[in-house]
Amino acid sequence: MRTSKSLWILATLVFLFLAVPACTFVIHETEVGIVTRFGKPRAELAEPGLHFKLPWPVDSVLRIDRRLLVFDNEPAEMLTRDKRNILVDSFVVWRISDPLKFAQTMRTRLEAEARLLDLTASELGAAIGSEPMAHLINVDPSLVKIPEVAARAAETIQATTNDSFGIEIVDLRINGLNLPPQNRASVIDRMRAERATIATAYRSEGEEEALKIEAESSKQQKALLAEAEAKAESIKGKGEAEALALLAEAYAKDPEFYRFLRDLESYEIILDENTTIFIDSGSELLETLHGRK
Amino acid sequence: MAENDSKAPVPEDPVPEDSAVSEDSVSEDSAAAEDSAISEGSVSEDSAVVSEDSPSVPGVPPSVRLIWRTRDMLARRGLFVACLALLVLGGLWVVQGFYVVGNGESGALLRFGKLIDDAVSPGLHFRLPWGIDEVTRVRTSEVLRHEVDGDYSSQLHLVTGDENLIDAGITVQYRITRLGDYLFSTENVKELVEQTIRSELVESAAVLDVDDLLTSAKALVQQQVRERGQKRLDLYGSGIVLVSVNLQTVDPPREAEVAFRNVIDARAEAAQVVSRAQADRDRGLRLTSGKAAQLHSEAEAEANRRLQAARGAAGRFEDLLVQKRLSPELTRADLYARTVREVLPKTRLIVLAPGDEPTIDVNLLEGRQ
Repeated sequence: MRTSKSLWILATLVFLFLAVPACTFVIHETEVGIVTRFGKPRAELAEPGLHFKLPWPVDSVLRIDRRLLVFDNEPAEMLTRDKRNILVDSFVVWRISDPLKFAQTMRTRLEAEARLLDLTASELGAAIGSEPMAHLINVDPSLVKIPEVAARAAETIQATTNDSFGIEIVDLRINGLNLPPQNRASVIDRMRAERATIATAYRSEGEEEALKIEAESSKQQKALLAEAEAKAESIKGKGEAEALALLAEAYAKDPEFYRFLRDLESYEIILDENTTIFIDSGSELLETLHGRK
Repeated sequence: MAENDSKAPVPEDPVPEDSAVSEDSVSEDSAAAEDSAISEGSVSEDSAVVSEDSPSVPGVPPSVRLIWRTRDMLARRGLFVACLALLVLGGLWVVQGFYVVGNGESGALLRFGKLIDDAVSPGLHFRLPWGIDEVTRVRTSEVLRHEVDGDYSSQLHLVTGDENLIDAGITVQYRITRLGDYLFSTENVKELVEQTIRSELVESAAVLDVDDLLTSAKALVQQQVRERGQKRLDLYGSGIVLVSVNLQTVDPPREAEVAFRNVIDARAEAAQVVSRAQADRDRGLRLTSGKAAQLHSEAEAEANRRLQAARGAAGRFEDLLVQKRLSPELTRADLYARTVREVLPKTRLIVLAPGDEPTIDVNLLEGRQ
């Protein structure tokens, strides 16, 4: 009796030990579960948490990632509307929006990514092919339509993937724009030439500026000097005028005497060793010599 | 245990409760043996009471006897031991449920895989243990730094709006704001951040000309990339906030480096030429104003000299005038005589006889024949 009781307890324990793992499953926060009964999926999905199922081989669980996934494409050469080559790199942000459909159409994630790669290459190629180069790179921001082009391609891809594979394209973005390697050399040459022009322009502008400064400076100096000279002359003139006024005041006291003195002074200056003077012996100076008077 | 079973004699139940049913007793016996085997392996949880007098059997090795003795004891005190074991296990289970979230960390609590709390604060916490609750702890106070690489090198190759090529190195710093989103809503947040920053940089470069990008527009680009990138990352529900985006390097391609440096040199040279001209101008102006000052003072000196000379002349004239007024004739004659004495000796003097006509060959006089 007692032994039979313990046997029962044991049996229960063993059963629980086997049954609990076989009949429950845990879905992690990052995934969603599809329960299949004899391979046929049940309609409702298992959200994160603890769930019950019938043991294998009746029910089995398929786990599908429900996170946002990032897929980086390889750069691909594309042609713009004005027939110019451009190397476009892009990445896709996607998630599995319909796990059932995804599980039915795609075996692995790699397969899904291969489809995304094909689709982005063709759709992005088409979107870029409908725009001229000037809408991709331009110094006028209002003309550049990179986000619009990518969004247009994303919409087309989404239309395919959502219905066929249960994939939602959250975003498609261009993360690389470049010129193809075969164009690189000529672009570099053009850049060099542009730089040379700019350098020459800088140098000649500098010289021009310097010449202007020089000219302006010499003009200023001359003006300054002229003003200073004029002022000096006027100072001298004033001094002269004052001097003359002073003299005039003095000489006015006896103009005749002044003239006499001035003549005498003049003689002193005018007459020198190059002067020959003829004196009439009858002149006043020599009167005494002749004994007249 | 098989050995044990084969060698062990059929034990008699010391306290037979129901000895009438012999079949029962046999089955009970085998069950008991199996039971004790299990209870030795793990910890006995059932309280089967089976006891026997093992020492009475001869030829049994000591190890087997030890097992028997243990079995006996377990059988006698089975209930007590089982309760103790349960208590210990339960205690361990509960103790294991405590956990600590460190300073600067934050915890995300999952129950059966489902997120129930994504912001467990630092401190001591309790969770349902072993297989039910699970905690992921992350240092959320830390700023994470990530270098954005190009496909083939550490720099990104960009095209500018004026179709020039540029290589740029960029780093991004970010912080986790919503741990649940950060951990569970994106497969690879780092990759998402990197690609987002790259695409924003491509868009910013595509509308700028190369000179702006190399010089003045750096700060603007950083700001644009951060703001637009943040908007995208919010849209994706990444649970992070961009702290900063830094353009570490912006260089022209190596093949054109010399040409770009030449432009920089040219600009420096031009600036030098201009500043030299300015220096010359300043020096010239200073010299000129010095000269002007010199002219001014010279003029004043000259004016003064003339005035003083005039004053002297006027003074002399007045002195002579006083003299002349005292004796006019004498003074005049005296002055005249003094001048004549001074002047005439220097000249060649030719005295003509009275009445002579001055018909003189001047050339002869000058000695210029």
